Amino acid sequence: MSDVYGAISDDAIQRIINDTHVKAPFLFNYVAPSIRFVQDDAGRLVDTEELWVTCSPVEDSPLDGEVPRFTRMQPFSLPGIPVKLPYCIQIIDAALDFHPGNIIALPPELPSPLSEQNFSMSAMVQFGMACIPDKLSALQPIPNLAKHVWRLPVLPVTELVCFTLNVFAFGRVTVTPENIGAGIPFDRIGLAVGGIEIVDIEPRGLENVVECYLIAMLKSYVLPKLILSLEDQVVKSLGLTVTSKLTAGLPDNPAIEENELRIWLDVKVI
Amino acid sequence: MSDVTFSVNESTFKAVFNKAYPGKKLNFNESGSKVLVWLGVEGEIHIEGAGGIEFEDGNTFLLKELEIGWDKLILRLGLDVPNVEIGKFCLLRMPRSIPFWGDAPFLGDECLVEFPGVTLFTGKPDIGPFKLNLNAIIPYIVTEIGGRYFIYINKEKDSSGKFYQMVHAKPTAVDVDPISISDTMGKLPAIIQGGIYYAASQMIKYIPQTWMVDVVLSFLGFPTLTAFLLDLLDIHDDVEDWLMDVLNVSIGIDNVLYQLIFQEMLESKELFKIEDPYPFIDAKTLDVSDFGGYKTTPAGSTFELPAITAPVTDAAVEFAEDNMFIRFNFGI
Repeated sequence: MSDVYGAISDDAIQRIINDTHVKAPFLFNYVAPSIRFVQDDAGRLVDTEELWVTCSPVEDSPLDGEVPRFTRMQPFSLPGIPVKLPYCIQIIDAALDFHPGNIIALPPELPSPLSEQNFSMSAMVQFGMACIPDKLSALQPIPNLAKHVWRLPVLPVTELVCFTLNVFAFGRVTVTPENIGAGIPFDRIGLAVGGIEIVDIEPRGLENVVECYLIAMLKSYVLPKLILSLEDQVVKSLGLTVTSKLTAGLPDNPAIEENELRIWLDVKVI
Repeated sequence: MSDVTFSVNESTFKAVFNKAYPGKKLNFNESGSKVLVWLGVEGEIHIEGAGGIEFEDGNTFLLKELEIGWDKLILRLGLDVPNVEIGKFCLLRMPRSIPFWGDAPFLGDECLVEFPGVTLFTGKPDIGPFKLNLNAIIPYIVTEIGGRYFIYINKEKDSSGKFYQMVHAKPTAVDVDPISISDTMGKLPAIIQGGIYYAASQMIKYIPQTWMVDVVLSFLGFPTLTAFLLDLLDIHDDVEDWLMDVLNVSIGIDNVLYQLIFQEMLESKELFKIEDPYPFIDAKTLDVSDFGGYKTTPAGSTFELPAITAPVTDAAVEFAEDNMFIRFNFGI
């Protein structure tokens, strides 16, 4: 059997997500900021400053110290519009559920109940895009702005056009043993997405491309990072210098079962 | 079901246990006495590690063999020899008459050379203490130590000021068998004899009239001072038995080791530790420009993000199914 074992429940992960949402809002709110004009007492334009426009309000972190609310994104461009556009992506709610599944109700498009060793996840993601004003001349009361508006770094707006997507997915963990050279074994942890569904999004092509992005995010970041974090915490909690490797020969390692993510490691205490 | 479960098997636990008890030198200096003989022992040992660990269900484990390394073993011996008083007597007397001569012309029947009388071994102690360096037999000392330990988890602060849930093992019983010597090289008799010879030579240096000692010893039936000392120390053919008797009975070395090891293990550091509060995201330095929406915009180009943590609650540790389990919840 293995030397070391670690497990974390989906309920705990859910509470960690919720707690982190409150304490580190910048991890859930991605914003390409707009700008606003700063005027002096005489109403003259003297400067610009960033304006972090979102669809849903974001509270300050209750933690002491400097904890930002937003992660900066770069504004995007569209053909024919020579000024870049602000936007926001806000994860309003996120959930993770391990087999047998008792937290997330999957939509009818996805199989239910979850198969063994499967997880499901859901996220409510809010997108906000800037709308181009009909008349940029609306900005003309500000002296000298009209002829320079296209030189602004980003379109100045005070609100965004928002819409919300509810995303559901399910899948399982995959492990591919590799050799990274010098005979050092390495377990590449991946994710096999069984299916993904974005509720009420049309047309099909848009849904497909959004699903493509989301799958890529899940595969390369979210779950592998969670598993590596669990592996790291198991080892770290030994309080020692160890080298670890996933225990071989087990039917599922890591395993997703009984509402837990489980991992078995062989370690060498140095 | 707990939020988080960690477990380790016996072999990993043993490896961790052996890291937690480094080879710190443990010194002892004990003495005892028996009739005529004062005994002392200076020693130094270090704990090398657990030879075998067996988990019991609950919160205890058996340490079946604690491996001890001996670094020093010196026996100190002192002898308080009873006073030996020899009165005056004549060693050479003038004969009353001389053959072919007749009566002695002078000093007839007078004592020509008189033993003056002496009281020997009046010191306290008379001999020693002298040292028998037994380091040469250290490789052959057999020390069998076992014990039962219990484990517990407790929130404590380490030397850096950070708090952890720490898992400790504390002895509830340590069992030290009398030590034995497997003198496979047969060195022991020579070591003991050598030590006694040395002691005898040292002693003679401080007795001015050594010829008297020889006389007295011949009266007592011992050919040499060394033989006399060996007899006083009760060292006969079986040197190994004698040494074991001195160490285990007269000194009580098993009890000395018990005290030493028990105390050391009480003071030992933790086996495992879990940060409390538990960090989900470590504190880090980030670029101000990569984020926005600060309560107060940092003055510099970077800022310190505090760790995102949660308190650990309901921490528990126990043995089950040949594993040690640590379970805890997050207080969020």
